[in-house]
Order: sequence, then structure tokens, then C-alpha cells
Amino acid sequence: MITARLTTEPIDPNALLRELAHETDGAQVLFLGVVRNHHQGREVLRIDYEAYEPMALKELQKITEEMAAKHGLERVLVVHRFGRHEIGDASVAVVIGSPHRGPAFDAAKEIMDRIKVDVPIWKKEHFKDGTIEWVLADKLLKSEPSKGEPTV
Amino acid sequence: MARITVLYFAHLTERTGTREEQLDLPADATAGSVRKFVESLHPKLGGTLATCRVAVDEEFASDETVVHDGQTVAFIPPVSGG
Repeated sequence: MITARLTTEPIDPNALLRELAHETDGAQVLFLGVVRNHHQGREVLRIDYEAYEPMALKELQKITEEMAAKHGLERVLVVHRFGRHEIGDASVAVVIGSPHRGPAFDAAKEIMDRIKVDVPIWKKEHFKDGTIEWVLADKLLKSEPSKGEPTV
Repeated sequence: MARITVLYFAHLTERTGTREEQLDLPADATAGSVRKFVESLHPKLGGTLATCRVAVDEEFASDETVVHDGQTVAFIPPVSGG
């Protein structure tokens, strides 16, 4: 199974590990990206993720397939969640099953590195001090919704 | 004439006041000419469009990419998924 998903539902890592279980595998690598309670020294209350859904899914699929091919893997599952997230919620899961651990660890890291560059998904951080800011790569930009515009 | 759908995300939605709009452009329009047109249409963008990548029909493209009637151009701010 080599597949990517985009969802608004909570990510259940145990269910993903079960789904990918295979009797030829001696290794299952799981990476979870989770929402932390601070950003650049400021306290964070929650994060909304906005996605350009069809393109984000295409890019996730492309990355998953390329990395599976590059590392000779047959079981790679990547799930990215969008919408509202609370502290501690998983926003992304990479699950890889492999006969041996080496390629699974390498691919998990490379997949995350690629997601950070090429998948059209954006974080909106809600800080405790009341400000709401977009994260644009490594920069912050204040969120200033125009009148009548639906919020994410 | 080419009718193009333009999509905005993150702060671009806030500054243009819309997620999506239709623009009528000359038949030889490129993604770059859409960028210039959008910048003049929405002065509130204030140069932030320059930091955005462009996608045509859900694939990353360059400013030289020709856009045809019915296609969708999306401006992609620097991403922060993961």
C-alpha cells in the first residue's frame, strides 16, 4: 500500500499502524507531527490548518510515490489533517512498513522535508495574547480577515 | 479572450476579500501576467504576491506558463504544513 490522504478527522496512529501491518516487515516507522503550545517563544492556544485540498492531496501522493520508489518501499501511508487542531493533536502521520528499518527511517524524514516545501497547506496560529497569525514558511504574518469573509 | 479562475489562500484571501474570482484576460495570458493583473486589482496585497508560487490546474507552474480559457490559476504562499 502506497497512499496519501487528506482529512479533517482526528488521526489515529494505532489504526494506521494496524492498517499497514504486514508479515514480511520487521520494522514499522511512525512519525507524528503534533501541535505544540508555543511558537517562537509565544504561547499558542490552537492551530487552524488551511489546505488547497485537491492540489495538497496530489502533492502528498506524488511525494509518497516518489519516496516509496526511491527507497524501495512497498508500504507507505501519509495522512495530513486540516481544519481546527487543539494542542497535542496530530496534524500529520507518516507510517512506513519495511523488512528492515534503514530505508523506513530515511524515507520518513525525506517525506516530511518535502511536505514542508511542496504541499499547499498553511498554519494559522492562535496565540494566547489574542493575535492570530499565518505561518508562511518561517515567517509570521498577522491574520486580518476582511468583513464578511468566512474564517477557516 | 481567456476566462481564468484565480484562487487565493491564507492571507491572500483576507487581503483580496475573496477565495476565488473569475478574470477575463487576453488569449496570450501567462501565469505571470495574471500575477501582474491581480497585483493591480488588489493593491492591499502590497507586494506579498511576489513571495508566492503559482499553480495552474493544481500543478506548480512558472510565470512563463501560458494559461488558457477555463484554467485555474492559484497563488501559493510559502507553505507551513506538517
